[in-house]
Amino acid sequence: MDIAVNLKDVSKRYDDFKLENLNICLESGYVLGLIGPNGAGKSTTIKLLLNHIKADSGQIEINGKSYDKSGPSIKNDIGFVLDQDHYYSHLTIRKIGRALSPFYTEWSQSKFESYIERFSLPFDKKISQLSKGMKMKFSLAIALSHNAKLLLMDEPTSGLDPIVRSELIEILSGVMLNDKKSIIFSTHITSDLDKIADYILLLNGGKTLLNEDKDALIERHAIVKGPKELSHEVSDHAIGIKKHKYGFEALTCDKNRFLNDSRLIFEKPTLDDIMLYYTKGESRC
Amino acid sequence: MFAFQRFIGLTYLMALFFYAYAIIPECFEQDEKNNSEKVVLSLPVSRKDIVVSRYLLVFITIIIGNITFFTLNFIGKYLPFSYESISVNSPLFAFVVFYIVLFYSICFPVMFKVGKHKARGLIFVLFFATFFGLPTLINAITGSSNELLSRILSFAIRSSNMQITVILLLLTGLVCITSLLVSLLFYKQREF
Repeated sequence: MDIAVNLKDVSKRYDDFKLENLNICLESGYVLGLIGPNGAGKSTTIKLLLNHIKADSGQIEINGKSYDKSGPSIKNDIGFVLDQDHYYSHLTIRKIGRALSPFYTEWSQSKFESYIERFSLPFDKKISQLSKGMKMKFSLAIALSHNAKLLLMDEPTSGLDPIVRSELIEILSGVMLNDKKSIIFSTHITSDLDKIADYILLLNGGKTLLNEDKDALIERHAIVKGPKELSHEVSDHAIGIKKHKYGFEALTCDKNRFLNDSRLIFEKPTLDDIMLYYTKGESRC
Repeated sequence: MFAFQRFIGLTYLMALFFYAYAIIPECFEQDEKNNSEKVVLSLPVSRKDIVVSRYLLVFITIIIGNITFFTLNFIGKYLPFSYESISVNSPLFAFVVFYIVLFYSICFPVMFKVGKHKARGLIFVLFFATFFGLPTLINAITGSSNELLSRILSFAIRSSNMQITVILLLLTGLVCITSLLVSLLFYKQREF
């Protein structure tokens, strides 16, 4: 079993924020969805993985190598899609491809050209003339053109319309099927992860709230709905509870306790429900 | 002796200085404007390479600037109007290299520490110090009665062109290496 990303007790402190004891162990060929509200620590995690910032403590290994020992050559194996457009806006797609190619030991010009064509991007258009969706696809084409084993994606779908978002997810699903790459996908739009994520890491305020298999996570939890009078009983075993005029809605990880009560309705939670309840209420699971 | 041909020398210095000023800070500016530093730092290159490349850019700019200057100077001779060709001796060349390298050796560590945008105040002050201050400074040095300055001047007059050139180029190397080490220290600690 190859480990693509291994983070052990990684901490990073800023004046107003602390990422605490982060642990990630992602096997090669799997997708980890990094979720959490704004300021949760998702971008800090991506920056740590790209060595843009140094961890105060802990150990970071990518494909079994650490930056301290192997230096920046590790990044030959990393493709990245950052949250904003970071390429020179006055250059064309063709020129940026040409400028970046010497940096990578395994850059494939034919792969790059085929991705640009597949994503219907115009070779001779300047970056400044591309739409946000096109810029994201261009970043993805660069990330996929040098045989990277790991893709780091920092909020790639933020600000994209649903059609482009779904297109991007389709492309990533294809990549996973054909190339077996590992992906860390940070987002606060959790529905993006429904199709592609294998594991979910939920961060809030720099703390890890959940870190497990996505299907098991959804299976383990349930949305419970019921009449007002039962809200007290359920709230003791709920991660969070929302009361309204006619009753309540809660997220629990202990649904077996209530299964026999016919007054309650159970629903499968979405990742959005899980994130919302965990980040707004105290976790008891 | 460069001191005795100071006005011609100043034209040469200013031409090279402005040429470098139009290129080098602009490279930092473009990187900051496009947030491209994040992309560069995500590529398989070390921070040391990034810093060294900026210092190499200074020398490349000086070389290209000189080629452009001497080409235009040569073409000037054949123009239909009166043009006084500028002759540049080796101490003047070495002084211009020294001055431009000194300018960026002061600016770069600050730019690597806080970014070009935040360092623009320093660049602005140094730029105007060069523009207005340097001619005044040269006049003050040549007309000064200060003992130390007089000694330096008389040493310069006694020395051969080759000696002055070598001293200036050694000083350039020393300033550049010191600045490079400070920039490396700052940039390795910088977080993005």
